[in-house]
Amino acid sequence: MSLRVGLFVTVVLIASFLTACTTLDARLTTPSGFAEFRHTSDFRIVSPEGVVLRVRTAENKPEQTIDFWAKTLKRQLSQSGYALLAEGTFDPKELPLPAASRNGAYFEWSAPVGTEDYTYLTAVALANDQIVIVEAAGPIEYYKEHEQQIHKALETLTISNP
Amino acid sequence: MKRRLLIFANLLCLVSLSAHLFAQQNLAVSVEAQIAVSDPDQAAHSISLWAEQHDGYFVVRSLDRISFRVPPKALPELRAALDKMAYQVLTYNPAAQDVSNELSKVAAGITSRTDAADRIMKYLSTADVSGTLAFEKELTGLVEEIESLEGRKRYLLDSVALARVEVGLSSAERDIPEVLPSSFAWINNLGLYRFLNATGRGGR
Repeated sequence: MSLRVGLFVTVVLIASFLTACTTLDARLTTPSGFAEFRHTSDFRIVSPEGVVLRVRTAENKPEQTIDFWAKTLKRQLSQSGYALLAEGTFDPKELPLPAASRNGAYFEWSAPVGTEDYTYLTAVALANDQIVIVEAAGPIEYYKEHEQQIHKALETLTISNP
Repeated sequence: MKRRLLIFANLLCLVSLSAHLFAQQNLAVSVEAQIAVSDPDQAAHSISLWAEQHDGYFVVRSLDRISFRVPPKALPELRAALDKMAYQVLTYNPAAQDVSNELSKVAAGITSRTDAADRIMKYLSTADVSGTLAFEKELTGLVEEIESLEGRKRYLLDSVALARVEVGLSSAERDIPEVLPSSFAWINNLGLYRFLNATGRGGR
């Protein structure tokens, strides 16, 4: 009996581990001037000057709207001491959602890294039961050079099973 | 024939006068800006260097503002220079005022008062004691007015020759953001330093 229970627990643990490992593949179209990292668990690109961008997903739990998550994110980073430089919305056309709810929100922050000032972008969008999270950062002058490209790339977000 | 010539000469004068007025548009240009910088002292130093490199000079330099003068031809480059030096350009307000009209009025005022003073000087030699005193009083007033108008003229011409730029320096937040806990796991994974470490870009 105890063997059966042990086996059951093992199977449940393996199943839950596999479920946890099954992440969705979120990415965007690599802007020109960026190189894509291979063999990383999430989508990552980097520019020659060190502006780096990452896309990952998290479960939309508890299930909430994009407005809720955008407000939560903004409040969290503002209270942490990041200085808000800019905010806006974007339309990730490729995400599998009706146009009405297919909006995304981005925030650009600044913070010091050593003696340099960095811009830190955080963007969120919803895709079915997932939150797609985009982060990008780089020294302020280099980030500025790529800012428009990054904003455009946000609209090319896609999500699929790996 | 004489009359026709006179009319023609008058017309010619009018045309050349209006052409002169249009060509001599005297613009006094100024710029007010507010920028966020991480090091106000360094920024003030960089801005004053920029002004000097563009044939200008600084008037006032402190930790929260810098006033400087530069030839108006340097202004198109100013915005780009501030963008480079600043963390963020918060406001940028250029303005221009045509002072040609005022300059003409001031010049006319100086001429009329100088003429009046000349006339008084001529009468002065033939006047009696009470007349001399009255003329001298009148002359003193005219000289004061001429000096004041000359000062205004110099100020206006100087405003045209060199633009006035006032840049306010706001110190940008240099404190390192803290890591505050959130009820939501994915929010807890956000943060510049965490992101830089995760992507192998260093950070803290």
